[in-house]
Amino acid sequence: MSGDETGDSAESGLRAIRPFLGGTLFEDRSLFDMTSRSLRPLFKIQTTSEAVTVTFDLPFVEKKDISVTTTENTLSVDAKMRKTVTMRVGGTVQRRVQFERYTRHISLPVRVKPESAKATFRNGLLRVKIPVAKKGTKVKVGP
Amino acid sequence: MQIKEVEGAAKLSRPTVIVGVPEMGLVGTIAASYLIDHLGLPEMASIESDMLPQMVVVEDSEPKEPIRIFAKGMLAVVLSEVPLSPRLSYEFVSEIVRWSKAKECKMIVGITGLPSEDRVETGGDSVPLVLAVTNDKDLRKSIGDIGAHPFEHGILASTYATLLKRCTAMGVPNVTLLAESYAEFPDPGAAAATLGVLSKLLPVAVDVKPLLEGAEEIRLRMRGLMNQTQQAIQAQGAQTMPGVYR
Repeated sequence: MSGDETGDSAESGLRAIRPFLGGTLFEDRSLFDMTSRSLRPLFKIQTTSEAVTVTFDLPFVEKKDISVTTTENTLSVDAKMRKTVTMRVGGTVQRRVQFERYTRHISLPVRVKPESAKATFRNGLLRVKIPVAKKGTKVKVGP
Repeated sequence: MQIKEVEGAAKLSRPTVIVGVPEMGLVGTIAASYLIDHLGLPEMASIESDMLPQMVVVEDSEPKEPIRIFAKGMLAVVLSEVPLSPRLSYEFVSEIVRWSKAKECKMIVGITGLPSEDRVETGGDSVPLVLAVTNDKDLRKSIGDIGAHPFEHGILASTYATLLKRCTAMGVPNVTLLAESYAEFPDPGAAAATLGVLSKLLPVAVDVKPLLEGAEEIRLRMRGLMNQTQQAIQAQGAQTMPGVYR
């Protein structure tokens, strides 16, 4: 573990938002993985005939701590956070769990060329752009 | 649906009513939450409805409704902590406009995000533009003076469209502020941009520095609500997406 451990102190630093958003204090079940003790980042996928672009929201992450791997039909991200965060997880009865990384493994909607993937990271947004493996075949319009 | 005021609620003086509900980038929710804390607004009322999700927000062992009004003097802020379905949205807006008119409000201001692919590509490097649309002729002339750009052509959908329409029907001035924002991720930077414009409409100054400094924490803590909001938006279809023709 490196950096500051946040937990309650970080939560109290968020007075500007917290007291009025009780629901957000409790982590959505689909947004963490207890087995690996990691958070699943929010992401979006955009697909064109040329490329698949996947954007991940990774607050509290530095560029040097990101690992991205891709195959012809999957994309995986593992990123260490620069501080440990405490989230409340569970059902009706909540408990506090510490997380210090994000992991996410997603299936891509089309086959891609993993060797041509490019990634950028700015202000906590990771964008991975991967060319599609086979562009559409042009169909001749007959008489 | 009804608005139930707390006992001994303070009398308001021609308030400006700010509305923040979870939509694109949670811009309105973040801005409304920040205003409530920054200005120390006390809870004045809550909204009760059998159409709301069967839930309460428990704060320091006290159960609370997920839609509440915080207010003092010349300002009232309506905050929803749950995404609104179209039916709930209409009832919510109708009740808010009726309540605001009964309070002799000066105007109702809606705050939301305008999805911007440029903002995602640049990682939010630049200060987002804020567009404004209003049903008031005099306010329309002063949009440039408050640091906003006129929303000249396009489509405004979702709760804020209903709010604008109900305000017009009820003769209440409305301004809707739309900041360029992320659609799928919480965007405190976009919320700060709307507050910069809003502070020129309000009788009080709003310092957004703490909001920007806490941006990463907010993005982390609001992932759950963002996820729920995205699911609600997708369930409603593309009609909730504002679009601007330029």
